[in-house]
Amino acid sequence: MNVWKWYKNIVKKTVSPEKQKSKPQYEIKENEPVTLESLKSKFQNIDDLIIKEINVNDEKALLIYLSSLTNASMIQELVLTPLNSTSDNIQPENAIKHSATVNMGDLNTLVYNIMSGYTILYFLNREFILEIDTYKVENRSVESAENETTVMGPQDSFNESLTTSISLIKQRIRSFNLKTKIMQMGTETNDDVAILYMDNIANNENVQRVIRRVQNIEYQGFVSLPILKQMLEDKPFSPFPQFGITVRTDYATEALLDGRIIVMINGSPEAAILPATFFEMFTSTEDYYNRWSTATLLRAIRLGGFLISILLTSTYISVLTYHPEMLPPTLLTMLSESRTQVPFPPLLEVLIIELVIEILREAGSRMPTKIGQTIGIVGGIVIGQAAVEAGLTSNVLIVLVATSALLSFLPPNFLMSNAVRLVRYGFIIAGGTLGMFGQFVFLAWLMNHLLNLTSLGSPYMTPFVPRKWTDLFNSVLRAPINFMVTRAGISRAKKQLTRPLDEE
Amino acid sequence: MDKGKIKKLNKYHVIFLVDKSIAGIALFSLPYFLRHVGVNMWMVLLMFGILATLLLYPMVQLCKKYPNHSLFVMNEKLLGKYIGKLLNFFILIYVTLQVANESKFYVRLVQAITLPDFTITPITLALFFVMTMIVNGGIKSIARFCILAWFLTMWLGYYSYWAFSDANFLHLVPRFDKSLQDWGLAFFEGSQLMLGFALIMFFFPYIQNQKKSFKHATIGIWIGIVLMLLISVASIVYFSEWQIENLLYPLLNLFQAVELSNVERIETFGISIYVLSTLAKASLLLWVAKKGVDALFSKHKNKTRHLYLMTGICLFIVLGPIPIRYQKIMYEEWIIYGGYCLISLPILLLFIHKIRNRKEASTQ
Repeated sequence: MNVWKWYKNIVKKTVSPEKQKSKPQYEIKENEPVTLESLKSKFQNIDDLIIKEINVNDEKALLIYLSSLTNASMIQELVLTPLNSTSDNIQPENAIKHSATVNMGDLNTLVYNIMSGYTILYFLNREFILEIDTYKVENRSVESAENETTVMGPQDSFNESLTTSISLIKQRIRSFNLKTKIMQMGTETNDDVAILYMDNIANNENVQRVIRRVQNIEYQGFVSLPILKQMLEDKPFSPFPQFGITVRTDYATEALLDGRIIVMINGSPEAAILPATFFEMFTSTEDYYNRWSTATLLRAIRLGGFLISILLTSTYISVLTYHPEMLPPTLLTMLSESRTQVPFPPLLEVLIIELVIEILREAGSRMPTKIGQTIGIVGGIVIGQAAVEAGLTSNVLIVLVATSALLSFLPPNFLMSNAVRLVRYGFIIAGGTLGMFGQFVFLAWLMNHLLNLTSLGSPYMTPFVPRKWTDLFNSVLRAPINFMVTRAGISRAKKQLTRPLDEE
Repeated sequence: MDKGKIKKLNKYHVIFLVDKSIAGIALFSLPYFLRHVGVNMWMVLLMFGILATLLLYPMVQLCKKYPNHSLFVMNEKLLGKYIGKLLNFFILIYVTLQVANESKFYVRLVQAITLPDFTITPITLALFFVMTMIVNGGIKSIARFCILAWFLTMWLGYYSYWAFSDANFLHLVPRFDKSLQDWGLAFFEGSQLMLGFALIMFFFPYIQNQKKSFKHATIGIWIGIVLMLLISVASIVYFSEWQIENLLYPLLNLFQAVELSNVERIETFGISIYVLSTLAKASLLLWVAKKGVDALFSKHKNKTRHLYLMTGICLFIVLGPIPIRYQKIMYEEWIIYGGYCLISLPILLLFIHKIRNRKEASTQ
């Protein structure tokens, strides 16, 4: 992108060459042989590094580990007890069955392993090192998803431990076709990133594309998956999320079986689903647990809610400002009466109330639950009522803004919900400047933007941009389960059918 | 933008590109253009459909002979570099005027009906901004927009229900009370509704299934004809003969027939949402104009700056100080004659292609 090139040049100019020379942005990790000195120099000023001298079969050895990544019971159980219970003629590597011998020419790997919770046994006399995985830290237990709650279906969700999250998926898909590719990412953090896919279903091109994109990212470290997800997306400037994101195990499992690719990162409970469509941002796994008719109704409400949410308040502005003739006399009288004391034009009136709602939402979400609820009630009832009585806004507008704010929360995807609210401001300004024509010109721009978006190279607006006609049975219409026999077009799956068609 | 000659248009894209290339904003004045034949206008539309299908055949045949080239390249290959470039220049003028015509027609309508306190400048600028964004995405972006525009505007057909509820269906009975001259005038003025399908010769190289392009384009033409038939039938059964002859924008009057309990003057909404259809057709025309500049000034190589150049020129034609009498000539005559030339051009080119082939065969 041109904006990116321009920004890159500005950054290059502001970071002085002297600073670059003295502090290279990314150090090239040259490998060196393992010695006690080199180890000590690497772990300088790391006070949680424990180095203990012990005797193993009358041979002196150093026990080295990070106390923050393991605990004494693990060291005792996995290292010391096996060593103590062996006879003299058994070598330590045979006594500790799950130990591995370290390559003495590869210091970087050894340091990485110690930083990952390994304990090493360094036999100084014979320059020999054993490493044992003793990683043990406290993790959040598997809990229900707070942000993606459902009435029916499984309630477990991913947590910050990558191994736990992967195990939750593997509990559900017990197949050797479920592949797990784990890579190290982040030049400083060395995070584990896992790419999961069904080898017999997922499109090879898609899998390779994801792996290539992940490999091509060079960054200091990811504190959470949404950052990595933004870097993987096709159009990072767009306000719309181009990949799915979930903490629900059933949603991720269903996506894998549909031929999608899952990306997870250690330390983040979310899983990214690649590729994904615009319509999928309005669907929930609960749609499949519900009866088809109810699910269809709910999907229609969510999608209709999206349109109403972006157009409702802007229509209020455009009709009152430019097209009052569109209103029947009774409605016009009612609206005029409610606005008699309002000193602002409709555009300003709407912007003020919309911003108040945004502030209330933001304040409520940053506070502890009980205070947040109070803020909601105070904001919703007291401020709303007070604003009407003070003549700052019309009571009709309060109803409209509250409705559109509620509708914007209908999409199960949080990022889509945010995008809807942002786009609404575009419509409000367009309606305030060019009336209904402005609203529809902005809608045209928005539709063109959405039509040009791609998710992993496939059209984001599928099934509206047709990939497969069978997609229509899992769009706004959620057909009865019997009819859902094919995988989504956007997956470009190797196997199209989910079950044989000649079944009775 | 379109990089390389990748075949990227599937059958749906072709159907809706062709459908949106016909009619356009002229739909608002459809009964007015065909007023000369009065209540017989639905027959003219059927004849237009048949004629368009017949004329489409040589176009597709010619394109199949040069499956990787647009009409701009074919002109240069068959007529020689200089005559070909000259012809391309005329085509460029024609499509540029078409973009301006489509935009100006719509902008004037918006200004007159929905935003009477505005000048046409902000409306035009907004329209061209979005149009440029659509064209910037290339032909596939335009095709996708055409599909979306069709679905988002098609339901407006429901509003014809009120026209039909007050209808006198006896008006539909054919009356051969018009002279040949009247039929000729209706064909001449009404032809601007139909001439757009010739644009297939420019996006043909991007079609995936070129073998079936004739079938898909024909479906597109007839979807458009059915829509126009609906409007003309609604007009015939709802309006009196005097109204048919004198109403400049009969579609607006059809909108005014709509009676809803919570909304009045539905034409404001109708005109506003019709921006989607206008943008679909105008974007396709602007894309062809941009390709024309590519053909003339950069040896058919894709240059995005040509798009901005054409946008600027079209904006000038719409907003610039051009005397009304010249505007009348440009929009009411040149465009129609230009369209006739464009639809008859493939027949000439096919003929030249055949002669060339014979000559080459005899020399070998």
